[in-house]
Amino acid sequence: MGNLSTEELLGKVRTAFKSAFDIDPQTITIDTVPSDVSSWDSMGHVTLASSLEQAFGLTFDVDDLMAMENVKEICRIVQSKLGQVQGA
Amino acid sequence: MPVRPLAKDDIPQVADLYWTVLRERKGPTPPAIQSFLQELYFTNPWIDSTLPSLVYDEKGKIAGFLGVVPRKMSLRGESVRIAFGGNFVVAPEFRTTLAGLHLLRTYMAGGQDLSQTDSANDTSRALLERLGFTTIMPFSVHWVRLLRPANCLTYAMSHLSESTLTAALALACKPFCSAVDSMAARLSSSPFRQRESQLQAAELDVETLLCCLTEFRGGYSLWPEYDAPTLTWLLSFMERMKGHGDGLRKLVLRDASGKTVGWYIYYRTPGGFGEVAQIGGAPRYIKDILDHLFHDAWSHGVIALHGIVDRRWMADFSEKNCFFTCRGGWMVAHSRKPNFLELLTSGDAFLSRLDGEWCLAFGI
Repeated sequence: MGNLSTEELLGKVRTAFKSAFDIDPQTITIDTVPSDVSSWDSMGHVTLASSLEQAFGLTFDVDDLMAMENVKEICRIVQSKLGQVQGA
Repeated sequence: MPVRPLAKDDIPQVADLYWTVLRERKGPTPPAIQSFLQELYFTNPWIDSTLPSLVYDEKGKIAGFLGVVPRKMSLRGESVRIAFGGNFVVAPEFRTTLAGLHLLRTYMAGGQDLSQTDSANDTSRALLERLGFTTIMPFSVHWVRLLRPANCLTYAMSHLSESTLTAALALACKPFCSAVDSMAARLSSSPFRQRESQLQAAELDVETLLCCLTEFRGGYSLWPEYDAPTLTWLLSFMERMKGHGDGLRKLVLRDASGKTVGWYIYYRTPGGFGEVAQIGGAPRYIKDILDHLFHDAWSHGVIALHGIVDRRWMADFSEKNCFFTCRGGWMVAHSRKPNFLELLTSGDAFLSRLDGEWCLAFGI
């Protein structure tokens, strides 16, 4: 999974958003921030983190959670963790 | 980051958040809320400038608040700093700033040995667990003892249903229920029979409570540290703020020789549930202490009692017809030192509702 293209990665992130917030995944872009998604509050954020963990088979710690402040950061963190998994 | 310590000038905005969002009330915020917050967060006897309450300041507008009350405890005689978090609230219009997460993260990163709350609801618990908190099960099991079962039924009808018809029916049933409850308290075979205890009761003063807390904490590794000023402030605050009922009843119990065998503290609410803050005493007297408490509450018109189980006495509570539930608030804790969490999760702590933030509520 470590070799996902940006588009593939964003596709899976969108699926996680749909699962967490029950929204149209196509509304999620690389520039999406929490204020663009009405239910992306603190509780929604941890729900989203769980969906991302399921979608990518990863585990996020609290620092990851706090750093995921928008979709761009989510993609960066996911990509980085996938790289670590592949490198291990 | 917009998280900073609470300042006195923030109190009016925090009071509005507390009133309209946390308590879901309409209309102007009563001035008493500001006094409550001011006293709780700026004049409590445990104030520690390194463990402040926190606000999320969005360009001058207070978008979120997390109240912190430090408490002193002792781990086998060594001082422990505990920061109890409570009154956690974020304004709906600012929730997508993730203010709640930022407030919690800052709180967790403080200098305390243990971050703790003793009345988390299901949502807060889920959020806190995801951030690394642990649910402390030994202090999250509640007991309930019905004292007037038929009146409990009408109480549930009038409180759980918004229908006017149900409320009217509950009111109409009241005389009949009172008659049934009166019989239930007197029939020898009834589980709701009230027994007058042989123990002698007297008003529990601060000095006596301090002695009790020292004498009866034996066997535990972690216990709260009080002195006369802190306990005086706490009991006065509970009495004045009426957080969980009208009158705070505090009794010490002695045997025929005058020896102290136990005590209890509870909110006496005639016609409602009495919330028990603390029960303590010698293990061999616990059933007598419970009998005394139940009779005292019953004689003051309380329809049921509710408290946190001390698991050493679970069998005694069960024998005295209490039932158990986890509905009523979770204790959750976080520490960078795993041994603190091990102590709590194994129940090796002399803790009650008196020792956290449950007792620091404001009654409306």
